Amino acid sequence: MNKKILSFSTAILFSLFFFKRDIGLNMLLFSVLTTLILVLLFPNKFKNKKVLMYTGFYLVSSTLIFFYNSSLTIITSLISFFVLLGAVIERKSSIYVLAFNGLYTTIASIFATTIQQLNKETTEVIKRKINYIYWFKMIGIPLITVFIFSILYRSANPYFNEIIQKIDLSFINMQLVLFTLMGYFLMLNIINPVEIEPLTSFDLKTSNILARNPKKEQSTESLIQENQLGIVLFIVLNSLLLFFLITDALYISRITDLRASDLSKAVHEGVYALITSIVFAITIILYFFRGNLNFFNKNKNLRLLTFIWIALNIVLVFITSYKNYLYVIQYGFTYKRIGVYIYLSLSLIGLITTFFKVSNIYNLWYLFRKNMQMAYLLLILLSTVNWDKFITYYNTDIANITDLGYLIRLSDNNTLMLQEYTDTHPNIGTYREQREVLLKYHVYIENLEENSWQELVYDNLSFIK
Amino acid sequence: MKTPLTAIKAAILSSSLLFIYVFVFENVGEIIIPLYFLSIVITFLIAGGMIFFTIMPFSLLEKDNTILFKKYFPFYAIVFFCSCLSFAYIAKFENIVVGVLSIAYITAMQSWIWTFKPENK
Repeated sequence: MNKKILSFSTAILFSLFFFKRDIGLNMLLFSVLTTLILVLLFPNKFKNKKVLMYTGFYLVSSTLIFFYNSSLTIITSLISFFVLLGAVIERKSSIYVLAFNGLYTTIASIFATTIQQLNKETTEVIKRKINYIYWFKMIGIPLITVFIFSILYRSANPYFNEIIQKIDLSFINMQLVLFTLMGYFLMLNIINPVEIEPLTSFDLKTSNILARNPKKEQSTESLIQENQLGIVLFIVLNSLLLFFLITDALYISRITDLRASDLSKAVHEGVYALITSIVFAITIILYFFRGNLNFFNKNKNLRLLTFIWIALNIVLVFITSYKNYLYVIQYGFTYKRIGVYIYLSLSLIGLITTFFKVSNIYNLWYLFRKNMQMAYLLLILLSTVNWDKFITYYNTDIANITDLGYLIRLSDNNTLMLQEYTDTHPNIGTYREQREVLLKYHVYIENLEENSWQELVYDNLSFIK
Repeated sequence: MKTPLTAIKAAILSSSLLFIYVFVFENVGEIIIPLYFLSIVITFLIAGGMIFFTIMPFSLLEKDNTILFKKYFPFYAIVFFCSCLSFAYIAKFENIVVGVLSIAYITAMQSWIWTFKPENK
């Protein structure tokens, strides 16, 4: 199939979907289109389960944009697209390499293939050079001549001038033409996938297993000393963290009056302590288990103490989660409080992968790869939730205190739910807040009615008759 | 040294793209030709500086242009694109800013090709 024709036809569809349009159904249609093109051009790649899984993630994330258009779903869809494109290029790479390869292809493939082509031409000298002078003579000179003579004739003949003036080319929308050209550039990039060669080859040849390095062989005495230092350090750190956890548990058990300022202070200070503790924990663990101490036969105590420290840090994660839970149950969800939960989940993942790194003697790349993989999966999972709607539901139905002003400031995704809530609870909030909800509702309905077919969202189907 | 020649090419490319952009998106009816040539002088200085300070230093790291391009161009492209995206975000995706940044991006990428393309034998 001629790639240029394919690019051009899909570029026209690209401008039909996106030219002067907001995001909505068009993202889903575009994802189906790009997936079809990739399947058509690289059918063998789609026989692999991993590639099929990434295709699924991409299509699901684009479908989610149709259901609730949020920044999170758009970012997830874009990252999923880069990952899928990267998997089509080289599926065996790590997730971050897939994403980088996909991004590189999307933004610069055409430039990379041009230089590849130029290199090929100079070494093989196959392609005939374009004769620019010939084409200038054939097209440029006649055009310039016609232009000059038409100016002359216009001044000489008023009737001719009138006819020339009547030529109206305003029907050509130059903005649309440029936008289509941009789509053409994008599609040309997508159908000519290229990889970041040094990054991909380095990733493919780097294993997860930590190999014993004979060049950096330490003496037994040095290993014993390092082992002893590690044991002393971890005993001190474990005792300190244990003491902190006990006092923290006592502090939580004595909280009877749930004042917002106290809870906020407890959560924020807990999170700061957690950040510091986990960063130190992972750095110290990585330092001690960077090399040959992993293979030292008397390192059992050090490993045990490391596992205890990881476990204590996990307890710290749960205690901070509980503080956040107390905060949420009383004052409801906000994006910051959800952010704390996300951070805690990532910390938990980081600690678990560090445990596996030490117990199975993996290297730093293992840690990096697994954590990135888990972060991507978490992103996909998080984007499946309509957070504005969830926050509105929780804060109005479950939380003890409802901050209506905060709910009004959220995106349009909660508008219908909020309107329904204020309809059934006419005494909630101030008069001004009630008016703001009504205004938000009317503006949203107006926007839904103005949506073109490309901008359709789920609320259009469920609400507009 | 390829820098001055590449800078001239980059200046002509970016000025032409800028004028097309201004003509199409900013609803300017007539293009003033002398202004176009004046803009080439300004873009020559900007493009020259950009090529000299951000592209040419790579030639110190590697002598073989083919290897150099493979090794450093992808990272340059990604960093340049992300920087442009950040500026566009800061400017709240204002049309003119997005236009100028797109032109800067295309010019920088094309300048890599002009600078490191293989010599004709």
